[in-house]
Amino acid sequence: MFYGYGDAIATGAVVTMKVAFGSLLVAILLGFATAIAKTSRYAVLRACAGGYTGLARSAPDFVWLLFLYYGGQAALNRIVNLFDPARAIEIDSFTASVAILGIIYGGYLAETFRGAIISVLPGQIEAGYAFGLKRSTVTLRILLPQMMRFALPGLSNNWLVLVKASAITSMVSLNELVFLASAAGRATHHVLLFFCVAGGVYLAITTVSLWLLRGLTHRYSMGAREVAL
Amino acid sequence: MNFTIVLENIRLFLWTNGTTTTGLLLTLELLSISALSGVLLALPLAVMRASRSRWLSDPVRLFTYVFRGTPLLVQMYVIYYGLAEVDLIRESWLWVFLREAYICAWLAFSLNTAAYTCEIIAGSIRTTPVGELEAAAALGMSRWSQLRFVLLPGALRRALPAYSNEVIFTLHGTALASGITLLDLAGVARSVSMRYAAPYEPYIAALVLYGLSTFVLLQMFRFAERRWLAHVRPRSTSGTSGSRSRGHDPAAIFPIIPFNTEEGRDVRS
Repeated sequence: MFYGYGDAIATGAVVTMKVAFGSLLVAILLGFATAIAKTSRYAVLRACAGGYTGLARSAPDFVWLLFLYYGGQAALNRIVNLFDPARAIEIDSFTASVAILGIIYGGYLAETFRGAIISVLPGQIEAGYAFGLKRSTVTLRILLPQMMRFALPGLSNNWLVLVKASAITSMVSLNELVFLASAAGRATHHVLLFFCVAGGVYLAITTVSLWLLRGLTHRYSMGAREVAL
Repeated sequence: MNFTIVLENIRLFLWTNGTTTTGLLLTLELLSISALSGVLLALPLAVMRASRSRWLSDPVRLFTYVFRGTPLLVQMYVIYYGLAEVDLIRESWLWVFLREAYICAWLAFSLNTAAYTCEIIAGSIRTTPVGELEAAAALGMSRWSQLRFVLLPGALRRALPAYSNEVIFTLHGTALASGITLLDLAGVARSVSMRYAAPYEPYIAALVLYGLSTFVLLQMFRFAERRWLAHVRPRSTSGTSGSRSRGHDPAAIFPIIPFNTEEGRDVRS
């Protein structure tokens, strides 16, 4: 099937999933830390977090990717050369893509998480402190589980955006779905077919994600009553 | 850092390479024609999408499902590289248009933004208070008048905050035009970066210009919201001294929640 390029498409789909999952993980960690910084009482932290989210969201992810990919590589080598002029390191495009997409979408997730943190009733946090819990315990055991319910809609949106955004990593020659589909298309002269197949795979991923996320939303909304008019 | 290479190519970055439009001007051009045709397409589609008839709403649902579920890059590639392969198209009058990267980019961006905009408008049509339409019907308005004078004016206003996000996403999406040979702002940055083997400066210039465009667009939308959404803006309670202590301030009892409180709310997908 697919003129012998079925395996290539499957490999591409797996790489796409890996990039999307990896960068989601990075983005969640960065986004959560940034959201905490945004709600901090120290003005310096708030300013840094605000600068990061503002910058990440002000320009296209594609241009950020190009800048951080090529610029980051060059900067890294310059730093390495200070210590060892003979050495040159090269970060493979998978690691770089995961890190860069994670950094960009961390800025978007920070806004989602910030909104969710604000939505948690302050009394819950105060009660935690009143029981003598440490700040880190309050954050991880009281704030985090309760904010997930408010963060989930935004998180699911960002996941879907991230899956689709991972297509741009084909421009820095990562062997993901779009890259392999276009290679297969050029080799077999069936470009239209292979791009449509790639589109179908993305559609399948987003559709299945929506089902799973609906289940997750149920799980985290347990015990929360919805307003019904 | 040596920004002289940017200054030497400033014409290329901002508006032209001598023969065609390039850089920032091309980006803004693509954005404005795509956003305009996207809205014109989205309006009737949104009315269909919100319709009770499944014959009207289901085809639109399929359209938005496909265009919101696949990457813009793939859509653009299908239109530019994919359709070029179909003999039926190559031999028809359509080929005059579809062989132009510019037209293909415009087509891809318009269809993409139309799908998202359609869902935004359909959502705000659905949340229209039923009483407004019942009142219009009670006044003897025709279906068309209800749509034209009651439903759409309100729904479009309420869609404005979400739509501002969509326009920013469209602006950022136009950066992909460089993937099909166009020299938009991202494309200029790429080509200058390659020509001078400069990994930083051209991209920084592009990032700054994109950032400025985003900022200007957001200001324009803020102005538009102040103009057309004034009736849902929360009244300032801290503006005049003493107004806070007044217990019977209606805005304090029924706080009107502005639609764009949640900064950066994602309306995509």
